[in-house]
Amino acid sequence: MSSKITKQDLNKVFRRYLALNALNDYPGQMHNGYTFSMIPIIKKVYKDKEQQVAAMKRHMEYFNITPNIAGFALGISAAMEEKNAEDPEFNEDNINAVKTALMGPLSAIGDTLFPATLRILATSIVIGMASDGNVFAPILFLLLYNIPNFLARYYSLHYGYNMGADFLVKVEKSGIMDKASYVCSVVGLMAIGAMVAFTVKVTTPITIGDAKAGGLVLQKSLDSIMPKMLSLIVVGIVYWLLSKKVKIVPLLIGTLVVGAILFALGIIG
Amino acid sequence: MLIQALLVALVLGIFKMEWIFGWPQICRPIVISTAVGLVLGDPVQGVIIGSVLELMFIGSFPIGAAVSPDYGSAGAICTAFAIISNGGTAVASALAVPIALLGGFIFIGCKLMASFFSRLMSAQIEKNNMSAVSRIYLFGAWFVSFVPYFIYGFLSIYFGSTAVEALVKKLPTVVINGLSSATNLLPAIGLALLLQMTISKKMAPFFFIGFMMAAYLGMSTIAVTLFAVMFALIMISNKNDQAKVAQTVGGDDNEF
Repeated sequence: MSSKITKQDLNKVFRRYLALNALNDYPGQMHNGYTFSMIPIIKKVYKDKEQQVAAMKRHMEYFNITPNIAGFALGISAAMEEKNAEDPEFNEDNINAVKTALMGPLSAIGDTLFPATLRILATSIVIGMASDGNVFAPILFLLLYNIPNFLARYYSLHYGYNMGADFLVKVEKSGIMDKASYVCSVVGLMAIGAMVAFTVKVTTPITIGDAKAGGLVLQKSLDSIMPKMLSLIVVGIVYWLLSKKVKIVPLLIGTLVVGAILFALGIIG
Repeated sequence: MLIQALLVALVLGIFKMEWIFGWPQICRPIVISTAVGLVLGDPVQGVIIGSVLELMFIGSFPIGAAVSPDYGSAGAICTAFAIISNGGTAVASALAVPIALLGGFIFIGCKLMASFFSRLMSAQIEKNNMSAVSRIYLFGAWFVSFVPYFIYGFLSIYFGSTAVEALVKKLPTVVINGLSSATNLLPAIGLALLLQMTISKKMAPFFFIGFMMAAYLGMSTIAVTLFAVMFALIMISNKNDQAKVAQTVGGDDNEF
């Protein structure tokens, strides 16, 4: 007879799960961290030594999900290990099969939500303060990112455990994944658009004729059509180069060199 | 120089341990540059340099097996170089590329070392020694995050600062000014990378709306972001309504 997993056990898992991707390697990505996080559960539900070893070995298989919401997988695994300990008919292979099934969809939504959207959002909110030299900018950034980060970790673990293996079915039925990724792309893209206007600082000092005698100041004419037009154009050029498979390093160095030359020629200023 | 090198190395090493504490993004340049500025006595310059480097690397974050430039090392080491040599953002962003690349290679080394610890864990799993498995994991996690980056930070500042300082003194002002203004273009790369990841033909108008709200209406990024959230919420509820209408009209069941 095995004992039931309690909230305290899940909290033990939570503390370990914070370090989920601290020892990634090439063969198995987060497998070390997954095993490390599952140890309190394995210790609790299995009394038999052989079963404990088998369970740990099972979780040493490849695992990779955006760590911020990998708690779903951990919670589900915990529920399944518990079932496996109670029910001798339970097919152990299902535990890893479910984990593998979760990797694609959860990483897709997780990568969109956390590193791509939430981080960009937090950055876009504080970047103006930061470039003005306000030292509270990083503190605000950390709060904006980490309150959702830690809440997501905590609740994904507990929800995962409570929902068990039906998790994926339920989520797909509710359509929440599609909605969340739609909101993320709208908000992310608009924030990026605004950041293009504010952070890519490029103007041109070109004047045609004598400015004082009514000559053409190019920047003024550009501004009357669309302010920050040059910023948008620069981003457009880089975007185009990237889609032509230009690598990032040549692009970075090239931008510095071309930028310095254009400045020296008096084309940008 | 020894003290400064040790301080910067400690900041980099300790911040790199973020992986053990829930990956709170403290290695983003905006955070780590400010911290380095703080220990070197100039947090304001730190945060300003951080904001430039942040935008440069805004499109790069580690996903899966891909190795990207190491923004954390670049943030810490280049900010230190800039503050020590008085070179400002021009120095920081010009050096950021090589420092970040070398950091990326170190990361590969860290992952290889992690494999070694993984083998040690497997050996203890066979013996069913759970506390040893946990201890090896935590020690390994600390070792691969702190040690290589502490050494990297220390060596760079201890041996590199004088060279950087000398170089900055020798460079003609034209070059420094040119680099400074070119630095203003670098955010374009980070943002274009982000765009590549997120944009699609259908969603492209949102990018331009965001840009136009900032350019024509002069709205701050915070304002644009908040409007964006509201837009998205309205659009989702519209979608739901349409779905409901379609259902009540009784369209083909196969559509759903």
